[in-house]
This record gives sequence, structure tokens and C-alpha cells, in this order.
Amino acid sequence: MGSLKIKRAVKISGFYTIVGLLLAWLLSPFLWTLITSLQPYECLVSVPPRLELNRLNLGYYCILFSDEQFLTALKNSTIVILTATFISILLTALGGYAVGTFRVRGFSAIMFALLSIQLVPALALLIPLFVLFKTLNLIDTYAGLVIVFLVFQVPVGIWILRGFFESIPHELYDAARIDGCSRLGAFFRVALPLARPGILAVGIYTFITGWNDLLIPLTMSVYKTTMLTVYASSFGGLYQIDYGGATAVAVLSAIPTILLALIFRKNLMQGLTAGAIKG
Amino acid sequence: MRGVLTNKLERLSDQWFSLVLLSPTAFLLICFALFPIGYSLYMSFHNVILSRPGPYAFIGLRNYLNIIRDPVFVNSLWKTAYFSTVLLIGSTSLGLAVALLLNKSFIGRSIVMSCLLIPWAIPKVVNGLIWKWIFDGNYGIFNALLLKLGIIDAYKFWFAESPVIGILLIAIASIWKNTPFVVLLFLAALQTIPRTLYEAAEVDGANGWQRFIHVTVPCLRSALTIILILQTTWAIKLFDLIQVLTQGGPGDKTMVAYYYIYRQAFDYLNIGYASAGAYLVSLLITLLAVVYYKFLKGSERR
Repeated sequence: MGSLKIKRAVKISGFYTIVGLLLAWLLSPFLWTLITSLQPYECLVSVPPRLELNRLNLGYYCILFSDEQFLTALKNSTIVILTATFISILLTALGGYAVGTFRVRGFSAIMFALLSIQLVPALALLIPLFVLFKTLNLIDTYAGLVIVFLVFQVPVGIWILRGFFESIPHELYDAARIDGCSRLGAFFRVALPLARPGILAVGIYTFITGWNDLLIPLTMSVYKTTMLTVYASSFGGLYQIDYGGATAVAVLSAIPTILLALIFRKNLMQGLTAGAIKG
Repeated sequence: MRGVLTNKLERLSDQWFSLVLLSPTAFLLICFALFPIGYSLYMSFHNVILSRPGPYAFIGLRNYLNIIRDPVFVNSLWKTAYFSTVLLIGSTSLGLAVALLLNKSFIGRSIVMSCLLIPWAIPKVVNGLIWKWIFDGNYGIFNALLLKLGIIDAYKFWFAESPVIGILLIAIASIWKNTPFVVLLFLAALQTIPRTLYEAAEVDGANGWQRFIHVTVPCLRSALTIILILQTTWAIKLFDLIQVLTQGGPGDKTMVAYYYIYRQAFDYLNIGYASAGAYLVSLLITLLAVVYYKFLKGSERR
């Protein structure tokens, strides 16, 4: 009896050791960056690495917040991504309702088009868009950036949302129509409330992928509309870089998306896997 | 006004009603996706170099022929293939292992699930900055760790060592970021496997390993196909990490195909040439997706 108990204890502690290793692997790179961003300069340029937890300070963050370029980039990212996310939710909700609820002729053609656009690598689209936007004077403008974000976000969004609208039983629409609802009325009164978890998932997903994107702002903006990822990437490069600033900007750029992901964890996981598995 | 609009919408058939709802999206995608894709095909047949004044001469397939004979591009394709292989093997095996672990219920599982989202949620640029600091040649903790373990006797500039090592480290950074999503996809698939299948296998006398091979693995086929397609596409589109970590250097040691095309287009404004390269890469992605899809269909029939 005693040996069985010991065996069980060994098994459990072994299991939690593995879980602990997993957590360490998931968390330590970001934690190390966070600690670095709070340490004094001498600790960053020391061999071997030094940890002085009693001297943590916000020095690098103060430098960032007094940097005009950083503030502009932060403002631009917020404006562009919030606008794009808002329009994207509108278009994907309408589009998802259309393909998910009604039997549309050419349904498979529409879905195929939406899927193929997602398969096209961003660069293949950004090169001609760059030339096109140069002639349309849309380079380095908010409008140009929002358009490009929408092109990449809306197809995925419709693809994910379609599933949510499809899963709403058709009897509910019929009942609403009999009660005198128009199709648009049924959208607002029946479909939208029921598909809310899906719409929330798409919204969060759109915000996170937009906020995190580098290639679009790097190619579509010059200096007026520089976004946060472009600013952060300027701390990179092959040789010696300013690690205090780099780690501080890394932490600040990651905070909004990490928070959103943690708060809306359940919605996000449902939405992400539903879209991928249905596709 | 609104009443008139809804009345008009109401008189349409279901078909036209849904097309009206889809029309803004259609307009957006036709103008800013379909047309540009066609336009870039046109440019790939012309000698478009934006730093020179037009009009640009039609040169047929010369851009394509030149880029597949460009030693830097060919080399960058090999590096992309190497990177993809490491990423695919690393994140798929690690992802499956973690998913199997998380498929059990245990105390603290929801904490692990939350932590799983952190690498997924952070920007790729930030991922680059994090690992750049870890792998740094002067003060990086990776060097300190290897020195302590006695594997190296002095700090090294890893990205300058060789393409094999440089790309391997970039793949490690990528595996850290990508594995959580693979875990989520595997987990979702694992949870659809009916418990009765396992019970039936147990009745038939199958041990844990046999149940894994004969029940779990076949049920994961379609998830595996999706994971392979997504991971390969991501791997081929490796850009952000390169931009932050090495910018393709030193001396093209970490130059991968996607980054090379970016350079040609946006640093040298060699648009025709880069368009040809982008078309080749898109073709490659489509081809691989089809191959994986066939692999799935083939194994389903069996």
C-alpha cells in the first residue's frame, strides 16, 4: 500500500516537473526581456549576466516616452489598427451573415476566392500595391494603411465567421421573418446577438494580427505614419544595439496584445481553432 | 431614408440580398487584391525598375530566368528549405507532445493554457528583439549559459558563425513563437476523438502506445495537414525575425528567399524582378499545399 502511494507521488511530481519545464520555456524569454528593460545599464553590459533586483527602475521607459518618434508611432498604430478593426468587423459580420445564412449561388466560388487570397503571400500583394499606391498618392497615409490591413483581414474574418452564422438554426430566422422582421432586421435581432462570441473573436484576432504586423507598415509608410512595429524593428540590426531601449520597446509593444489575448482567451481559442479546422 | 433602403433590400431575392451585403468586400478585394495581383504579373514580364523613368520594356520571361539563375536567390531558397524543415519538425513534435500533456485534466491546467497564449500574442518583431538579446555576441545569456556548461570557451557571434548555425537559432526563436498555435490546433483535434474509441481499443487489449498509434494518430491526420500547410507557409514567409535579428547578413549568411525578394523590391526598387520572385514563391506555396492536401486525401482512402 505504502509503495503504491510512493509510486503515485513520484508519478505526480514527475508530471509537474514536465509542466514546470514547459512553463519555464514559455515564459522565460519574455520575463528575461522584462527584467532587462528594468535593470541599470551596468547589468546589461556585464559578463556574466548580472541580476540586481533591488535596483530595478523605469529609466528606459522614461527615455522612450520622451522620444517624439515613439509617441508618433504609438499614436499611428492605435489609430490605424482601431479603424481597420472596426471596419473589418462591419464587413466580416455582413459578409459572414450573407454566406453563412443564405443559400447563395456561387457559394463555393466565393469561398474559394476568399481562401486563395489568404494563401497569397503578403509580399506578392504588397509589391504591386506599393506601385499602385504611389500613383494614387496613398503611400504614407492612414487611408492607405487601413485599406491594406482590410485586404488581409477581411477574408480571414469572413472565413471564421461563416461557421458561427451557419451554426445558428434556420428556424430562428424563419420565426423572426414570420414575426415581420426584414432580413436586415433578422441580422440585427437574431444573427448578431447569437454570433457575438464569433464576432468578438474575429475582432480580437484582427486587432492582434494587425498590431503585430511589420511588413505592411514597413512598405506602405515612410515617416509620417510609421507604426510601432517599424519603430521597434529599428532597434534591431546586425551589430551592437541599444538593449535597454530595445527590451523596453519590446515589452511596451507586446503588452496590449498579451492583455487582450489573456482577457479573451476562451473566445480566441474557440474562434481560432474553429476557423482553421473548418477550413 | 433608412426605411426606403430596407424596403428596397427587402424586395431583392435572397441571392441578390447576400450579394449586396458582400459587395463592399468584393469591391475592396477586386480593387486592392485581384487587380494588383494581375498587375504584378504584368510587371514581372517588364523591366520595371522604379528608380529609372518609364516606360519599361517588355522582356518576356527574362525576369524569371534571371532570378532562378541568381546565385543569391538559389542559395536563399536552400536556406528557406532548411529553416522550414527545422521549424516543421520542431514545432510539430513539440506541439503534439504539449497537446497530449494538456489533453489531461490537472490542477493548474488553465494557467498553462494562458501562458501558452503569450508567445502567440506577442508581435514577431518583439520575438526578434527578445532572441536578439538572448543570442547577443557580447552580453547574451545564451553565450553565458554555454560557457558555464563548458560547451564553448569564449563568447561567440552566432549569426556570423555559419548559415547552418545562424538559421538554426532563428528557427529556435520561431519554434518558441509558433508552437503554441500548433498545440491549440492539436488540442482541438484531440478533443473531438470520441472516448468510446479508446474504450473499444482497451477492450481489445491495446496498451497505451498501441492506442496512441492506432486511435490517436489516425484521428489527427486532418489537423496534421492543416498544421503542415500553415507552418510551411509561415516558414516560407520568414521576414520579421530576419529584419530584426540579422537583416540577411552578415554577408548574406542568413538571407532567405522572402527577405531577398523584399530587398530587391523595396531597397533596389527592382519591381519587375521582385514580382517574378514573389510569383515563384506563391507558386511554391500553392504546390506544397496541394501536395499536403493530396497526402491527406490519400491516407483517408486507405
